Amino acid sequence: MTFFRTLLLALLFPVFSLPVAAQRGGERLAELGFEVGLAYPDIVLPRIDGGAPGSVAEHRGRPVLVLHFASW
Amino acid sequence: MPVWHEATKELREEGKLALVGVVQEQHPERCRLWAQWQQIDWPILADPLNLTGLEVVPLAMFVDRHGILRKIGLRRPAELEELLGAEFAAPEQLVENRRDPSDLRALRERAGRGGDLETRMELASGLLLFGGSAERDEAVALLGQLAAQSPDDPRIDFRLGVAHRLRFDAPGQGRAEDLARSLASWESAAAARPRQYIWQRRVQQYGPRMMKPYDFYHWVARARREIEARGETPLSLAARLSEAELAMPKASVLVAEPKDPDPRRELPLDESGSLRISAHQLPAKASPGRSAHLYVLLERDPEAGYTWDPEAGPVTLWLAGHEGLGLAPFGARTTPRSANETGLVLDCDVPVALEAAPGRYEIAASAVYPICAVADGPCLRLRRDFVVTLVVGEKQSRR
Repeated sequence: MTFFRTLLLALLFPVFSLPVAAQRGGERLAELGFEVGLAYPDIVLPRIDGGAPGSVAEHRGRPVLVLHFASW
Repeated sequence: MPVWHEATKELREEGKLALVGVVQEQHPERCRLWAQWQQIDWPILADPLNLTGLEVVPLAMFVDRHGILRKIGLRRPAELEELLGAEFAAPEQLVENRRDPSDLRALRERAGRGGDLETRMELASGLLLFGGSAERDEAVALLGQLAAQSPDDPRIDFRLGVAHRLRFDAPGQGRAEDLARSLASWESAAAARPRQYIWQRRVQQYGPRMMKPYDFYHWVARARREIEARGETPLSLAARLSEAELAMPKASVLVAEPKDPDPRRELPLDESGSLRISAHQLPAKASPGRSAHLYVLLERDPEAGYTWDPEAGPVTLWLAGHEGLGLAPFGARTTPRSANETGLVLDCDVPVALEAAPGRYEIAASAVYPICAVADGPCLRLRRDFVVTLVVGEKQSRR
């Protein structure tokens, strides 16, 4: 059973990684302003805790790891 | 995300790194529950309208202390260590790339001076994200105008879908038009950009189990249990989780309610006409051999003089089946969250036989619901019979 699960995951891995790879390497990100070497495209957005609107630029002076994600 | 949370804990505590989340989901409050569960202490920003334009998540990016993007797509903490060890010089001149949809006054001024499409879209976004209910109505109307003027721009369709769903989920709302238009707008946007996975996810979130790449909010029950076990109170979710959002992805249909709630037709019929019933499906055309997700919306007229009776049991939907669809009788159930809930949704997958021909199928249906008359009136169970129309399209070819 474990063998078949491993085999299935091995076969599916390239399929699941394709979309991410396509966006990471593609020109689409640059079109959106996400280009290495340029300013991070900063958008003021609401905070999920209801606090004052925030942005990544607020953290200038320190390196920032920006995690784009969803809870699902 | 928990991996990054753990891996960067020390760096954050020492002030050597900031972590910022940008969440791409319709209901940011659900991410707030997730953050409570995972004990996240870094700021998370909500981007339900997909203003970043990103097409996939998760995606980690490293920004240096000068605000310059240095790496897209970090996958391992070791990559982060390498970047933190590098020296990035300050740019001679920083070309800012900033958008502020929270500044509604400035956006209104720009949009009023013959603003272009982008400015008006930004205004609609600002109204939705930072305004109240009046601004939300304004945004829905504005996006509707923009969609009519620029029918080939799927970004407007996606955001229109978000706007309608936001209004549908707002307290005292729950109207059929908003439910129908959110589903149709998302389906249209996703069809126009098949590789926009964040838009696709919105359709999959509300679509049938067969369409799902994974379960969306199945984690909520576990999160609540574990938060309570810590002695905390889980944050509440304002918008109800639909069956579609809780379902696990499977190539089979979950029969939520296998029993006809009124098999002998004994319950009194509700002939008051004060309950508006409508049905909506996703996808808009079901494919033979697959399933569609059906939403039956019961809209209670607040002036009708009665309320739901949640303590008396669930509201039940029963579909009598259909030979042409190869559909056996089955149902779904839900319990109103409060006596005064306006729009009550019952949702379930409806399988369509491989042999079903394209067309419109009428399925006999009934809803059974406990209600109480306002002002100390009687409480009783009533039945309404109606017809659900399911639209079936052409068979999809295997890819």
